[in-house]
Order: sequence, then C-alpha cells, then structure tokens
Amino acid sequence: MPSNELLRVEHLKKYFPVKIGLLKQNYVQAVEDVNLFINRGETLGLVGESGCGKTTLGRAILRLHEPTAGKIIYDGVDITHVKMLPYRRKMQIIFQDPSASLDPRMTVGEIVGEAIDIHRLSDNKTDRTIRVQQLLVQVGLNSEHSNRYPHEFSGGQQQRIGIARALAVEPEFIVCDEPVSALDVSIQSQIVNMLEDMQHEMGLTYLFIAHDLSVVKHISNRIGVMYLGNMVELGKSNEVYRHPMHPYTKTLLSAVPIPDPKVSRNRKRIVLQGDIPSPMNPPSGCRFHTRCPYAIPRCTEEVPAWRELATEHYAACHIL
Amino acid sequence: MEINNQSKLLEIKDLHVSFFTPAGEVKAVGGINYVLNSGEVMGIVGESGSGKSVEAYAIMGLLQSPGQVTGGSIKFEGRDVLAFSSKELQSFRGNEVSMIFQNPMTCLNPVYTIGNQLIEAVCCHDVTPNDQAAARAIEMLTLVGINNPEQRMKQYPHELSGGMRQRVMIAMGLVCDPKILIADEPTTALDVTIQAQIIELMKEIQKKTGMAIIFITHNLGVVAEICDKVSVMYAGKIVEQGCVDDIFYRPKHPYTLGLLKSMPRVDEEQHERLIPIEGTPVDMLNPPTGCPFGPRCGHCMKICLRQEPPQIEVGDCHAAACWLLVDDAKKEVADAQ
Repeated sequence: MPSNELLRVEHLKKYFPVKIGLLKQNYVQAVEDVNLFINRGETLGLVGESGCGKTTLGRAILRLHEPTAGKIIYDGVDITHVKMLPYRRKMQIIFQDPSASLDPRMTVGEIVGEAIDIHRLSDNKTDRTIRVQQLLVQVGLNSEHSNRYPHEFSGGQQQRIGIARALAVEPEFIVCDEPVSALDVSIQSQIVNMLEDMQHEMGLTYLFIAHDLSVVKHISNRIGVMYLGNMVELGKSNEVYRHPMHPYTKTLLSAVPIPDPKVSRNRKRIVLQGDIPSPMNPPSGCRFHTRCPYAIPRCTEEVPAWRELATEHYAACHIL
Repeated sequence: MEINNQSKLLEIKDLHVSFFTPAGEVKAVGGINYVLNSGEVMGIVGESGSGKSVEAYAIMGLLQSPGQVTGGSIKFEGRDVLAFSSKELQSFRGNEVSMIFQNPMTCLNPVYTIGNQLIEAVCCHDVTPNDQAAARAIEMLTLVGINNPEQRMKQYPHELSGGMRQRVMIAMGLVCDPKILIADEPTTALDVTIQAQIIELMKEIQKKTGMAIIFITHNLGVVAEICDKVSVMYAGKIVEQGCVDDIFYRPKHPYTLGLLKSMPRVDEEQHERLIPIEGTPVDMLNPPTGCPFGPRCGHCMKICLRQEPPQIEVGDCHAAACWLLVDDAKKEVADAQ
C-alpha cells in the first residue's frame, strides 16, 4: 500500500429501506460495491447522472449515512465503526445548495464559529473572533460580514461562507458535493479557482462530486464514473477523457455540449436510448445493459468484474 | 394574412419590462431589440436575473402583476402583440407562438392524464371532435419519440421520467403547429444524456416543421449545438448579438468574452486556469449608471460609468453595446493617456 494514500473505500454498499404496502420491504440500492482510494493532496472527481449514488457515496464516506456494508479506511485506520467526532476535524463537506445548508437564523460569524466551539479550537473569545475574520477574508469575503445573516448574501457569497465553515477546523479532506452547480457561470469559475488555490496552499485532498463533466475534468487529477450505484470506470482524468473504456463513459462524454459551434457540428454523438432504470429494481448482470449499445447476452447474466485494464485505469465491463 | 414573409416573423423594438415591487421599480428588461425570421433558431444567453425569461413571458402575454411592459413594441407578422385583446391573445398563444418551460413537473397538471391535457390543448384552439384531437395528440407523442403513445395517453405525469415529461411538454407546445416555439431552459433540469436526447429531438423537429425557435439558456455549450444566432443578455440589456460563429469566434463585448473564458471545456488538452469574471451580479434594484457591466469589466473607462454605450454594428448582423467599439471614446482614452 503506498504511504501517501489518505482514504480507501472497500466494497462499500449503502441500501435505503423502502416500505411498500404494509408488510413488504424493499431497498433502494444507492451504492453497490464501490472500491476507490484517494491519495494525499489529490482531487478525485465523481461524475454520474442524478440518482447514480454519487452524493450518497460522498456522504457514506463521511458516515453522514451509515454504510450498509464495506469498509472505509482513513489514514490507515478503519473508521467504519468508530466514533466520528475526532475525524470530523479532519474530514469536512461543502454542500450543493448554499442557501439551504446555512442556518437562516444564525449570523455568519456564528455559523463559521460553531465548528471552532465544538472542537474547542480557540482559548478565548477574541481568539475566536480573529479566527472567524481570518477565515472570511481567506474565502474572499469581508471581515465585517460576520455580523450579517446568510440571506443578505448572493449565491456565490453564500457558497464562500459554506467553504469558510468547512475550513474552520483546518481539515485535511473535503468532500465537495456539487459545490458549483447552483451558481451562475461567471461565479462558478471564481469558486473553482478558489478551491484550487486552497488546495495548493493547504495541501487539501478533495472528493469532488458533480454532474458537470467539464468542471470535474478541469479540477480533478482522477475521475470516477458512476452509473446506478456502481462505479463503472476510474482513471486519470486525461486518460478517461482521451481513451474512455466503458461504453457509459463514452456516451456521457459525447453528450457533454462543447461551447464551440464548429466542433459540435462535426462531432458524432452516441445518443442513449431510454432512461435510467430504478435503483429499487436494478437490471440483472451489468446494470448498464438495458441502455448499452454494445450489450451481449453475457451482460444480462453476470456482473462484470472491477479490473485494472491499463495502469491505474479501472473499468467494469465484459466487452473490454 | 397567412403569407409567410420570409424576413421578420417577430420583431421586438425597445422593449421595457418593469416589476413594481414594494422595494422599488426593478427594470428587468431595459430596451431590447431583435428580429426573428421564420425558420431561425435564436439563442438567448444570460445569467439568472438577466431578464431572459421575463422577455419571453412578455412576448407570450404571460407577465403577472407586479410585472408590466412599460415601453416598446412586440410585432408578430406585423401585428402588435401588446394591443391584443385577451381573446386574441388566447388564439395567439398555441397557434402562433407556444412555450415550453424549465421544469416539466410543475407545468403538467398532476391530476389529469397526459392524454387529457394534450386533447385539451387541441380543443382549446380548434373546434375538433374529441377522437380527432386524440389522434392528433398520439401523432404528436410519436413525433417526440415516445413509444407506446396510446398507453402513455392514459398515464399521469408522475408515472413518467423527467426526460419523458419534457417530451410531453414539447408535444403539447407543438400540437397546434405554432410558428415560433419559445423554449425556456428546456434542458436545465435534465441530465446530460437526456439533455442530448432532447436537443437532438428539437433539432430534428425544427428541420421537419421549419418553425422558428427562441432557445433561452445559460449554457453556452447548448447554444453552440442548436442555435443559428445568439443574443447575450446582461442586466436586462442585450449586450451583444450576432450569428453563432460571430459570438463564439469573434466576440466583441467583454462580457461575452469573459463568459467564454470562464467556462472549463471538457476537451481542453492541458490544465489551464480559468479566468473568472470578477465581482458579483448586478443588483437590479440599484443598477449602476452607465454600462451595467462597467463595475465588473476589466476594460472599464470613465465614460462607461457615466453613460450607457450605444449598440455598434461590428459586422454583418453582429452588434455589441460597448464603448470600446466607439471611435470617439477610443480617442478620449488616447487623449487622456
């Protein structure tokens, strides 16, 4: 095992129980048998369509959802069943919807300072105030903003507050759960640049979850592609983009609109038929076989194995 | 009346729309001009709050209080849309212009079947017997690529997926053969693979029926895929308009340029740092004097903060509103230096 590995996830599963009628119990298989590792100081991007389990995976890693099965190893320690409070100092999360993830009745200072109080990171009040102000300046806000309420800020600024809150405990690892999807294009790039700068300055490690492939490709060192709870492909981001292996990755890449009229006029597009099946009742065998243009009979019967097909490039597909 | 004047299907001149809120007047649309010819696909790009949807609502006569058209004109085939009576408006909507919305779930009635709602749309505009209307509805569902249309007619909106619902919305928009379809962020709520399906579908239908489309979106990638010409809006004004190649390859307005540079591209070869547009979007209650983009613009001059820039023609049907393109202003800068 390489020593610079920060996080390893093994055979992680997360099922949510659903009651049908009075007696019947069924499960939404949100995350099914996912394996991954993240190195120190690197960004792993997770892409996939809505309902593919990327957010659930991110939250299960932080144990905001208790995993159904599998192991989470953080810095060499199995944290699947331990008390999380000490680890909350090291692992933080930035949420998608900045206005919904900030308490409207707390001032910005209270929101950012709350984590400092819980982990007892400051000795006295002045120390705490100074720390909060530093954090606000660090994320591009004004230190006077600490007395205002979240609704007084624009979406981009609210996301900065969410980032300041995550940084308050000086974490090593941050799960960024769609941090820019709710923002306008011109603001998106400000936040993306800020996340990159913070990573360089503080040596942070990110798990970056988004459905926008161009943003994920831009910020990540490696990309994992998810479909219906399964990880279907994982590799270096340039590799995944230049030589996608799994048919789903190929279609996903060809579906991304490119802001260049000449390129988009000339490129051939693989348009998928149909919709994503329900995760309550996923297809047998390979979960993608119902929409896959290359499906063979074996795909309907057997779950494809997760294999390393090129250096550090993994995929799960029978035809490869 | 029915003779299709090849040029000018829809002409908008100096349109102003304001919302009279308790906090003051919000000028959501401040004097926009454009012409839509028949068979054209025009994109309107802008960030949230730039007035792109409000302007479409004004065309459809769907503005709700406290919103009001405060000036300008909207002409459809030479007729003044703003002077229509409510009866005329009703036949105008659907028959001449129809609209599809961003979120298909909130636009379909959850307690009626798909068939019911489609048939209602036909019968509202045409006196047709029910079975003919039903046949028309099934024809439309087939056109938008829904399999088993007879079956689907009996289903309720919640039984369909997001992409399916958007197809039903498109079918409903097309059911009366409109000349213009206004699509207000039709793919924003959808996943990329479904977005690709819907865009391909709209392109195909546009080719088949030859209708004009106004495509409102914030996604420049989608614009590049489907549009012939583009208007870029910022703070209620069109800052640049031109054909799609002009906007993408020869942008003249700093805002358009900024938008293009700030987007990461999936086909970028090397990691390049994004160049964001600094600052925050305009507060529409207190818009800045002069050019609305001035405070965020890297090339801002004194005149930009004083006076609004005029629209300058920079090419064949390519215009931008920026002082940098005005010779006099350039001279002023040169003199100052």
